Amino acid sequence: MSTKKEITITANIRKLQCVHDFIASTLSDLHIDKTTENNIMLCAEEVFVNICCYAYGDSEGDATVTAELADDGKELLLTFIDSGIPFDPISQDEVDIDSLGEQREIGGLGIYLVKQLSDELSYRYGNGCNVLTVKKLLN
Amino acid sequence: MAINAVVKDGVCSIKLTGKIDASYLLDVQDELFDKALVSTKIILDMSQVEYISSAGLRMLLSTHKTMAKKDGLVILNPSEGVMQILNITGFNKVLTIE
Repeated sequence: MSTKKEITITANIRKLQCVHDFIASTLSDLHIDKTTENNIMLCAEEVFVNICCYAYGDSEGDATVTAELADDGKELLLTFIDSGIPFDPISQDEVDIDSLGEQREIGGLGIYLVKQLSDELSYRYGNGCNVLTVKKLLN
Repeated sequence: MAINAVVKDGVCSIKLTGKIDASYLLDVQDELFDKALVSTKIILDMSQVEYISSAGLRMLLSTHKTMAKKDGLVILNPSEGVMQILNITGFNKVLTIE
């Protein structure tokens, strides 16, 4: 059993606070530590901003975010759905964090952070939608 | 949203607070860039920054590159949350952190 909530918003970086407020409201009754909360917010930002920047090209579109909280409060699933260009961020080449210095390229840094800070990440494409799910275990 | 910056003898001291996310940077990035152009050195106090995303990291790297030709960018007292992200991404090896 779990509790599930959902919002749909315009995929625009200006709406990032709406995503963060939505997740904060989902977590409000739990007493999770600040680091875990920040890591969840960071994962959400990176995925949402990716959708804002790349899913719809120059057009405008929506993003739906669902938050599913296990009844025991120990697991959170965040799912991000957009109907933009099919794109699997998980299968992209890993950013090379050892290629430091002045020439460093930082494309893919956001999804790298999501991989590092989440407990499980999955992608599928179906019914014309990109569906990316981030699993985070809660303390 | 403005940033709190003090410039003295070409050294620009900036204290950032709260969350350095993509939305925040839409408002402050140009101001930071302008400060970098007219300063010889930038000291960025991040002790009160609880959160930084890849957008914030990109801002740090571009400021670092701009200031590398001058006296540099210093990240001062990064919070535990910021330091975690700098370590995970290897930015701790690129940036000057004091």
